Amino acid sequence: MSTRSDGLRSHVRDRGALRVGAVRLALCSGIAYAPFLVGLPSHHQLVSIAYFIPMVFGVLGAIGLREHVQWLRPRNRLLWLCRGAVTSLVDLVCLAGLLLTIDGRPERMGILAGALLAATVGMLVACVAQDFAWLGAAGVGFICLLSFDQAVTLSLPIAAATIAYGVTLVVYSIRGPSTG
Amino acid sequence: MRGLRGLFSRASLICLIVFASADLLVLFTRSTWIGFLGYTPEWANAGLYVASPLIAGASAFLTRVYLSPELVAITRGRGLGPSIRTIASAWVRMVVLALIGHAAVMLIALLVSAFFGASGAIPWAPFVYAVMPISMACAIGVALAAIFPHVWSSGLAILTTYGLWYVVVISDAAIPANIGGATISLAGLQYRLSTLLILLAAAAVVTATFLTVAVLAVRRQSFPRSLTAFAVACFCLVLVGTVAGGHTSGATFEPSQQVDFVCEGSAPRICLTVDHSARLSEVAAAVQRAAQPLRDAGVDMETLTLREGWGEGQAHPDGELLLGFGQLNGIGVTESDYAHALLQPASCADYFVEEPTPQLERLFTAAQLLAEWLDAKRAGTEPSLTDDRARELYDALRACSVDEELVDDVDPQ
Repeated sequence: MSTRSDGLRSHVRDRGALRVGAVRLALCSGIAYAPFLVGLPSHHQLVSIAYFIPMVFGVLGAIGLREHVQWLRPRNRLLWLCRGAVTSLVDLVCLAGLLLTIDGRPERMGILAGALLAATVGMLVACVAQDFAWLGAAGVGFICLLSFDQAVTLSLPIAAATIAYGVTLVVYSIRGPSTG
Repeated sequence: MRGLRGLFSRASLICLIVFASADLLVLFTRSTWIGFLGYTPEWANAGLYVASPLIAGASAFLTRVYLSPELVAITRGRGLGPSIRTIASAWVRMVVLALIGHAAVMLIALLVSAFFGASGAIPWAPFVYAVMPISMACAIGVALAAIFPHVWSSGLAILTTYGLWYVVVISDAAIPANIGGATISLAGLQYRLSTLLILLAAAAVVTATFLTVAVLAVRRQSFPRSLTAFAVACFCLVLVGTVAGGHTSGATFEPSQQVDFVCEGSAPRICLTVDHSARLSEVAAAVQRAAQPLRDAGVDMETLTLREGWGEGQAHPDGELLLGFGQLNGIGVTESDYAHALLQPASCADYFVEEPTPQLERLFTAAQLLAEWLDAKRAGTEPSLTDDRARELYDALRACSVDEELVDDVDPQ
């Protein structure tokens, strides 16, 4: 009975994680791509819409961490391998797509590096206080938002940010907290 | 109604610190406000546009805890009144928290200005304006927390607020999302009361709409319906706001009746508006030092008065001090800036015509040549003009009549 109950809970949790994971992926990639498609950076009025990408990307990533970890830690080892492979593949495809859209333009590199940095900080904060991970990511995203067009952000090394994000994501997926 | 009890929880304080830090960060992205009490609150409000998503996110994050399933179940069972009071209470808590954060930033800004030797009077209007985006952002956060009591509502609130604010700004809707951070000089301007009242009413409507959605969400507990109501509310508000924005003048400022100046020094005499006179002595001394090469070249500076520019197309008998209002506090202003500030010694009619005239072009060319001459003199390098030619050019600028041969046979460096 308890095994069946555990299985049911796990199934429900997996469905929830899958749903949240799909939403996160759709939102992140949609948000990441849309401004590039509509033209970047926007010249209109105050702050370019693209400059919010680090904040939004970081916050959504941080909020979805719990589900992300649950999704990647099923009890069945085969399922773990399959999910790990699918997730890695999707992340790599997204990252490759984003790197292609950068097209060597420094302001785009700064935005993507800022987004990866915000998401990385979100994961680091989640290790200490999972509920506040989004706030940590939002804080870094906010600093990036204000620093665009300035040398400090334009010189954010995209390769370093990508590596930091990738390593943190892998480590978090394996060792990070799964509950608050 | 639980009032403001437990307002300063650990989570609330963390959110407050993050928001206030973000607000403070925006404040110090410029130094043009330091020393001007009339402009300081206006610039302090600039951060609210970009910090509003954070306010909304924090509101959703904290309200989702406040609106516990037990509280929602109790209030729902007691009818509409308790539901309204619960939502209103949740919103008031968030507004109070955000206002504390912003008030702290405002206070820091005013203290920094005052410490710097401030001039001018503190206007009251920016304090009213500040309440508007804060109340709207908090209402968005509360509504999303009521619809979706999960930590995801914070992300959704950030997304919604930044998206909504962006649409409001690009569509010029009559919704006060962007209420501060004017970059023009406010000398000779005052806050327009009718605009303030219209925007206050608009903020009240937006806030009330989102709070109504929150009440409905608490009452119905139907996620799809509540989310639909929220989306429809956003759409309708932007639509109505855009239509209303097209029919009302969104001008925040209007010309004030009188502009008072204070003057100091001689050769040249420098006049600044009272509001920007915090560092008049230093500015006057720096401009006089920068004018030394012109005096050495024989330019008569004794009768010259340079006045701070104000308003649009305001012709006056004196010359114009070519420093932006933000440079009048002396922060980050170079000797070259002070020297170039001398290069409009008369308010010629040509500066105020709509179509550029040949005389205007020659006036600008003469100013450019003199700027290079002053820079060369300061740097100790060989100038492209002789001192006599520099004097002739400056006198021509002062007479608003630069002859063609005076500027044509000089090669600018």
